[in-house]
Amino acid sequence: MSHATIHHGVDLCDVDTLRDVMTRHDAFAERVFTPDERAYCERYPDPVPHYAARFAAKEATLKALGIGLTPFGVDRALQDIELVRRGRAPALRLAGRPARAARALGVFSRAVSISHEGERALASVVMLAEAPE
Amino acid sequence: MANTLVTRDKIEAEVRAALAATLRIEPETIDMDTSVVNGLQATSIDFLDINFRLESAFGVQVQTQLLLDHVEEQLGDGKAIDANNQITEAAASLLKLYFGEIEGIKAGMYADEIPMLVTPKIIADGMERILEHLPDTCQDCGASEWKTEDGAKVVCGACGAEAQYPDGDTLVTEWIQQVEAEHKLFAGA
Ligand SMILES: [Zn+2]
Repeated sequence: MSHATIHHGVDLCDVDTLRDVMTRHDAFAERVFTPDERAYCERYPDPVPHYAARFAAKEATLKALGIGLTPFGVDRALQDIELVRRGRAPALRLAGRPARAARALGVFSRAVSISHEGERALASVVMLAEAPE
Repeated sequence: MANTLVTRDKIEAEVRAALAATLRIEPETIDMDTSVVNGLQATSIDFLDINFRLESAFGVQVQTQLLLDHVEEQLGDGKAIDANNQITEAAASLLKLYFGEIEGIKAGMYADEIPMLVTPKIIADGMERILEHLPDTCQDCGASEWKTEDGAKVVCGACGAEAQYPDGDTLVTEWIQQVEAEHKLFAGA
């Protein structure tokens, strides 16, 4: 029987906090979210709850991978984690440092789920990795 | 040319102001040597807010990759961070050169512990590294008449354009090349 280890990350994003920051900095959306994520969110009359769910997904992914953002700099790892739609279900596309971290862990399967209600957005990310021998 | 228009005091004051505004605390209460993550309890959105504030205040673009990720991009995977996510001897030496003598940097530490080491002083150092690269002449009109009204944003006295500094990633890349040429930290590793 084969064994796998589970890596799990969960994150809550406060919609108003994100709204404040995005309002203050015009460059925020472009530096943090991918073009496809922006196109998706901007279809809604109020895009911020959708951005918040995506931000939570990025954070939950970083937690699952055990990697942190740098406090000095605008980390491109955020752009390297993209929430995409496969039919109705969301999925994650990884590149750059997050993709390397996933390879190093031996991740072979992953799932993401998002939810938003009121002023909070939530994301949960689960990854299955080959158990280290 | 050295940037004499933006002083270290002004850089530290702006870092304090950015942290204080984002975290809703008094600027005077901020210890420049405390961990931004553990001591000031800043979250990821806070980091972004603080960095965007500083970019606007000084008219610069900060780095988008951690120092050790730049190393791996330039010198190869595994040179700085091993398969267990622990940092190599050479990476620890490089971090000490970059951050100065702060406690906690050692070979074998986990890479995701590095963000915990970042202090307001280190953020100010990072800004200073960019700001000291004020170009000799204006990129738009060629004049060398830089001036500043607020002590933070430098503009051309002839045409009014904002000074264009090299971005943070370019400077980190150059710094790693210089250090590697001098110290050969990764050459044998
Ligand atoms: Zn000019």
